[in-house]
Amino acid sequence: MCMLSSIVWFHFLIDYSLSTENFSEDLFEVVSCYFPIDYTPPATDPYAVKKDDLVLMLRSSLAAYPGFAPYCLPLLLDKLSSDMQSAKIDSLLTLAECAEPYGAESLKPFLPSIWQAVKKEVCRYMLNALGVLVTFLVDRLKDHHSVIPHVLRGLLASSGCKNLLEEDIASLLRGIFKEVQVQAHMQADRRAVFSTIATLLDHRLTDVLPLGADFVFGFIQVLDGEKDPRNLYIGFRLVCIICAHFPIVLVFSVFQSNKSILDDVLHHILEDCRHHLAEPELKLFAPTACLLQEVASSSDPACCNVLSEVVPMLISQFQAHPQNSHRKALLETLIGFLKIANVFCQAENNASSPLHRDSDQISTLFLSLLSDSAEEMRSVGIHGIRVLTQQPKLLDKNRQTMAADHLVRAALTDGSCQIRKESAETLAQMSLTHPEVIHNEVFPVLLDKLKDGSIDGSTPHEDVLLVLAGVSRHADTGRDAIAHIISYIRDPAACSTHTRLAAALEALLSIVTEWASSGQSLESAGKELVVQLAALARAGRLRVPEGHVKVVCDLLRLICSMVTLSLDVGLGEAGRTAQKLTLYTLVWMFLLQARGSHSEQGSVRAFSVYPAVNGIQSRTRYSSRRVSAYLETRLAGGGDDDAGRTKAFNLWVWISKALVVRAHPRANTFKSKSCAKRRDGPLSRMHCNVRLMYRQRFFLETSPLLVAAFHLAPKDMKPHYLVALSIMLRYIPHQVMLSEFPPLLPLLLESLVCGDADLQLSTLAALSALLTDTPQLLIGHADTIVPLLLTLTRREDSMKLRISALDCLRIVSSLPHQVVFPHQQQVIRQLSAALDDKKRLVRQAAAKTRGEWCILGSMVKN
Amino acid sequence: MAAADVQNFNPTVFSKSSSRAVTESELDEAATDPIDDREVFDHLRCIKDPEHPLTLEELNVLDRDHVRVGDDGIDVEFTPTIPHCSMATLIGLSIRVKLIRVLPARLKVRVAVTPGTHVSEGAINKQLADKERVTAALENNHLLEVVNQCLAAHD
Repeated sequence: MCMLSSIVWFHFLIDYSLSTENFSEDLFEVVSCYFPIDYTPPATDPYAVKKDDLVLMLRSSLAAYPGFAPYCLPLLLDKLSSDMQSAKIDSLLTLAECAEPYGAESLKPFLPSIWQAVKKEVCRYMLNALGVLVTFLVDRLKDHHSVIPHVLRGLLASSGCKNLLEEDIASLLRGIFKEVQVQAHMQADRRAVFSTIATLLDHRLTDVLPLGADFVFGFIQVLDGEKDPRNLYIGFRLVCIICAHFPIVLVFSVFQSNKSILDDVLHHILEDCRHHLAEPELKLFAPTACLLQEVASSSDPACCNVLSEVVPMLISQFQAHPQNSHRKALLETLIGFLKIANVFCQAENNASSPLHRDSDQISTLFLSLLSDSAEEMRSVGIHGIRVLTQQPKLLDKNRQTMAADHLVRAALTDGSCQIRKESAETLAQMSLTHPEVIHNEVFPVLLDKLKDGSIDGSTPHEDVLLVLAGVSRHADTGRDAIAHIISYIRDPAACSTHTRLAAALEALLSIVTEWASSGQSLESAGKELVVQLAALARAGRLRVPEGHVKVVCDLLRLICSMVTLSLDVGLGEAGRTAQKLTLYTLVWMFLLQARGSHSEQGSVRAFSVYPAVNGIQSRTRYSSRRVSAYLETRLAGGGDDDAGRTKAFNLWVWISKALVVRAHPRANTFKSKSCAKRRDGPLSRMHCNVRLMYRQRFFLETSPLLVAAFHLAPKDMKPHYLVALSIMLRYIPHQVMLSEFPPLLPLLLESLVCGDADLQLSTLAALSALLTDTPQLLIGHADTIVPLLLTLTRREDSMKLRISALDCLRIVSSLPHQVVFPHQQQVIRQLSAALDDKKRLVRQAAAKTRGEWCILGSMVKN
Repeated sequence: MAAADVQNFNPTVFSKSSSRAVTESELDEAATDPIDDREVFDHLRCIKDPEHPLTLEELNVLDRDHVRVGDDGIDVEFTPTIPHCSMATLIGLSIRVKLIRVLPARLKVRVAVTPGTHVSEGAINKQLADKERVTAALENNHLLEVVNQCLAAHD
């Protein structure tokens, strides 16, 4: 341990170029005495330092400082003549590592001795057994052709040996390349050759590299004419490796014309693939395209080479194939290549980029597709344009304008909603890369549409606002868009219906969400927005229709979180109070509007208020006190009818949820009251809609209450408690489930027996979630559950119930084999009734489930 | 499998049909949905080909027009990708077994090769129509395993 750390220190010392000249000899002496390292860590070594760590670290220490050369080289030469194999190997490797830092000048005086030593070693190694074997085998390649397959297998086996020398590898490969007409042999023999090369490239790449051009030429010969897909698969993989390491080959064989070798290899591959690319309807089209894309992504030169061949090929194939499905396959492949071009070839200058030559054709092609009559082709065109816009130079200004123009029209008026959506997304994408095009081309069109006040205009305002929100992701465009939207809301002639208002608010929300998620600092904009919104609210322009209130509240919540951040830092006391007041105005406006609405609407409002209450963190105490006072009078019920109480209870539940989530001190008061109110029946399920981190706390506090209440409750009230429990079970984390579940299981099973379909449905949902997430809990109960579920599959009155029972039963089949196997015959027999159900959906579920039970115990199932 | 074993290693691939939309009446508890061609076809279209990682639908071995539900039972005709396909019997057997497992027992099922698409269609049809031979085939564990491979849900 000390040794390693001292060496590490030493390494640091030199790395940081401390002045070591004066001490170089001393420093060398202290370190070199450890060389070569011979160390076996004791079995109980607490530091787990391995021999290899020490060796590597020492080696790099010695190589770290050129001044060591005069001391180190004699030492290494001395050790080379040692009798220990490991010492010799270590010396040679150290020599290799030191050679570069020490530099040619320092090495020069020692070169003759090094050469002698290395030659001696090489000659001696040549005599080793493996070398003899390889030489023997390579010699046999010249023998009768019937021997060759066996020799090839012998070579394959020896290629995997770790201590094969570089010379042996070279002679092995040369032998194969020179003596074997690979393509004249059977598939399996050819495969042996490919596998041999693959093994060597995978494990001994550095030893193969010196062969350089010889190797690549030999490989081309081997691959030339190969037809078997499995061999080609290996072959293509090898080509990837060769392409990827080509720069290294370049270094080693500077005198060869390397560019042409890469070209040769790629040319060969492309020739091989060409006819597959011309048959988009056949199975091998897609895999071939994939392979070529892999080849293209191996290196920049390979990418340029492949793209410049493939892109024109695909375009001409596109023109040759009239059928849309084929055209689509071709274009999707083309898009795949364009995406690769976006990653590679970026550094290349514009003129030499492989796409530059065809960029006109490509962009014209995709632009022309935008007005195709077939929806799928328009979709491909839009996708293509999206990829093109990501590469800065592919679309010139003119075409950018054209594309934006096309897309904005498609986004607003296209007949298919899928196309409208994709166009809008592409525009949104463009707004990040080309904000000026959006600003100049798209905004005017959109604003123009919004000015048209008539209800049955060409394009609904809602769609326009949606697109507007999409293209406003860039900070500059976003600011403009918000100003436009606010003034739109203010204008009663334009924003004349509720849905328009909702859409406008939705647009605001999505812009603000985008800001929040991209982390842009837009506090001032946020504050301004609050002021604007409050002004709009006071002017009565924010009376949103039911069903859209949630938007406003989400918006509020976001702005709240944006503004509260700034509240604490930016503003003075007066400013803060003003801000708070503005926020209160907004929140209360919505809370109190709930008073006037109908029952469901009230619950929607209440639901929406929840996030807002949640958002204004520390200020909730004030709100909750006022709300609870108000609601308690309502719940006490004086003159109110049932509906009124229901409404108040909904609001109550949502507020308590907000408080529970915040771990607010008043939460407990709220909660115990809502438990007491449980008598209000099915409403209690609202109570259980709790999520995230607070689930566990809530569950632990509430479940005993519920279980106790269940036992006390009158018979007709019991199901309500079970509903609450089964809903709650869906949301609690696994760990809690594992400890808390066993006592609840009997209740759960009881609710499966009990007659209420609603309850059974929610229990089944909880049960299937349990079966998927924590099957270990239910293993012991399969004998009870399976018959229960089988009974439920025959429930005449509810199709949904039958389907969920069948689905549940299907999940049961994935429990461990020994648990379900005893039931297999019974289930298969009893499910045949469900196969003849009068409802198709039930039959569908039954067929799926019975199929699973039928293959129980077969290999595919396990 | 060697190249020679896969008889048609670059077959034409066809597009899949979209999943069936659920109609109003199917959601209505009271209405009865009769078993129709599409329902039977949906049961069968996901069967995998023994040689390729593709479904019978994608290889056009099965298509909707060749699955018919009549008064006296169900008729399924399948088209091997090449006329000398040695897997034809296995494919037919898989279809049969699937139908036995997912259809009510009261329905009679006839599985056959589309006329004129296989060199030995007569022999194959005879084998598939012979109940006892089908049952015997399924008692062979190895064969059953191969059939189960084709039938296993792959989604």
